[in-house]
Amino acid sequence: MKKSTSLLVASAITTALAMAPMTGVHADTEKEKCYGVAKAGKNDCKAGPGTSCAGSSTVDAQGNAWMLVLKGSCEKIVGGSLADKG
Amino acid sequence: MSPLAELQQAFCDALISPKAPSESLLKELVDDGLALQRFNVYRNNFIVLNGDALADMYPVIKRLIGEEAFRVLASAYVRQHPPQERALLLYGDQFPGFLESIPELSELPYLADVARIEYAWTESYHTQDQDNLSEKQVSEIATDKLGECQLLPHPSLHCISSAFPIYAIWQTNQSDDSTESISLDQGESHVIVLRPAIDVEVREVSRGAYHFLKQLQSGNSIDQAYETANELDDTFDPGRFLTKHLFDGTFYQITPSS
Repeated sequence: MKKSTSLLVASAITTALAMAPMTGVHADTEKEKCYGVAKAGKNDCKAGPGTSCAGSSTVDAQGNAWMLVLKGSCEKIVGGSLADKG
Repeated sequence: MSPLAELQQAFCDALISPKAPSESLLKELVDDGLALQRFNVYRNNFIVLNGDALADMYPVIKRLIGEEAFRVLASAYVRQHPPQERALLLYGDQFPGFLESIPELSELPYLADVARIEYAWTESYHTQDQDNLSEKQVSEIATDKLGECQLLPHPSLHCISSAFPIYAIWQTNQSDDSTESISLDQGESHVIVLRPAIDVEVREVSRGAYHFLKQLQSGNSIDQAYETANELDDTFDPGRFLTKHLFDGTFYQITPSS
């Protein structure tokens, strides 16, 4: 290992240590973890995927034939597509 | 195979097949003329509810391709990769690779990497809590030994890199009302996902910082990690990076070389 690397790394860490009181982030103790899955944008707590005991009213389309109709926000993602390189 | 094991196997096979169950299987179920209907209700719930679990895991993918396409893919995924565990909290671990295997999605080459962020988010969420690195731990090590130490990133850390701007795509699709467009020409993206305290954080980092963290995560010394990061990105500045992140929960332990 080059000596300059060790010096650089040591100096980076001692600098970080010296700055620590200013940059240290302390965990918010007001909050409690919700033991379930709540993805960003969904702030509710719930038991997690697949825990619904209710019967489903959705009927599986048995989609073996690939009838993929893409209707989502992917149309907002443009440029650089692989198709252009073909 | 015992008769019971054979029956269970036949039931499982029929569950993930779109075809009608065999007569011999139906005969084994309570035979009051309603066995087929009961089986169909059960199978429908199995496919749909596991698909719902997948939708909970991958809300951004669902938003990107739309509800209808997601449902078709989810049903196919459930059939190909039925749950292997009783708990569905981490169901869908093979979904990113599955998305890559679908020819119809080849026009959306970023999809699998965005899915990797979503899976990492949930995995990070369920990782055991861990105290952050303290100033005391670092100050106990002699300055000239620091470079030889292992600096361990938080156990909830996941590193995901992509040739596509996956952070921007993930971020923009957090809310349903965003209409911002994203150009794939923005190029590569390096993302880290971790949970230093209560909340899962998804951060975009420089290429150098990404490789620095990956090297540290694999147990290499800080010196080695820096040299690799520097080779791959000569703009990487360890002083700036560590001042910002050494004590913010990105790391949890520093240990002298063994």
